[in-house]
Amino acid sequence: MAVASIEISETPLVLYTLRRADDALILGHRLSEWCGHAPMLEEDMALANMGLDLLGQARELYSFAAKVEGKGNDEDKFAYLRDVRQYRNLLLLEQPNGDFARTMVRQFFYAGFADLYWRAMTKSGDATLAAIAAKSEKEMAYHLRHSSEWMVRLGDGTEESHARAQTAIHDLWAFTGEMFGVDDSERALIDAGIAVDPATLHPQWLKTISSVVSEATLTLPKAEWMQQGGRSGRHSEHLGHLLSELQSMQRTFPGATW
Amino acid sequence: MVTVLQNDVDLRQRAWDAAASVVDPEIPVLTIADLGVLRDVAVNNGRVEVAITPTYSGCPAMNMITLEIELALEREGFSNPTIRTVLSPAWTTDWMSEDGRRKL
Repeated sequence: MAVASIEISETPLVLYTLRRADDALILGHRLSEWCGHAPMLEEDMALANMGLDLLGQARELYSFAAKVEGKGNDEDKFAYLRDVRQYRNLLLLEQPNGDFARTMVRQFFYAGFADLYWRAMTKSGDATLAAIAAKSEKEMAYHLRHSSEWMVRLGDGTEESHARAQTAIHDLWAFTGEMFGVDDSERALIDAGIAVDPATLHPQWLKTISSVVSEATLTLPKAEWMQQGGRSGRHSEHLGHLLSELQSMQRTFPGATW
Repeated sequence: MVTVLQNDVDLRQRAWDAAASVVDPEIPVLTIADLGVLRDVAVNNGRVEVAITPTYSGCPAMNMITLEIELALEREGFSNPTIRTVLSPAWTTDWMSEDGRRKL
């Protein structure tokens, strides 16, 4: 693995799979940053385990992308030997943990989507993606339940927890639109029955999110402008810092194994 | 021909028993058969192929379990077994055996 970064043949299916793998890896890494820092032991375990769910999903997806690409790449090369501009994750998921409320709002927005997304993907025309979906769907349903309970606890809790949750909703809202975007390369996969059109999931997502947010005595912003760029490799400055930690071993000792 | 088939059946049983004896490294009171992590054992021309499934996507015990199955099979005289991971149908607690439930 002694190269600075790998070349990737981004056919539509490889790109599509890498995007979802990157989502899972980056959010999983963010959750792992809570290990040893969560507000209570049970939550420390929960966040680490949910991070592990996402890491497991990422591994399956990277391995599938490597097989489809067929150029000798593998899960480790995809994770450790791509530069920030080669990452294709949603901007939402690379946003820093911030306080606990911000981590939960990010988790809630994404899990609300991923729960619907993976359930729909169990019907994918690709057998491997459908199998990964069947596994992931159960995990994301749990992540949604967990983060929804926290939304209500924080929003309907103290004045301070309410204010922090509301600020996080306000700050992260503009990153939610990217989850429902589709470009030409994905459109072809949707037409072929391999991928699902995320736009069809939006009404149900908004219904779920709105209902929990309202129960939590919080409000959703009216703003409609949405930030995007992650899917094409245009990231916020936060991802580079995250990768410098995630990739530090392979960057310092290229090709190291043990 | 019948003898060959019979041999395969016997071999499969021996291979299954060996693989099924592997315990969960995190809950050693349960075997991978109790847990429903062991999905299938097939023998073709003396070569063993084992299918296992993770309880959750990020299960860190999968590498350990794979290694333990390989060792258990090697001890029974099956060389170079193949261990593959299957994701579908996804594992739920319904896959646990009655025996596994009782032990838990």
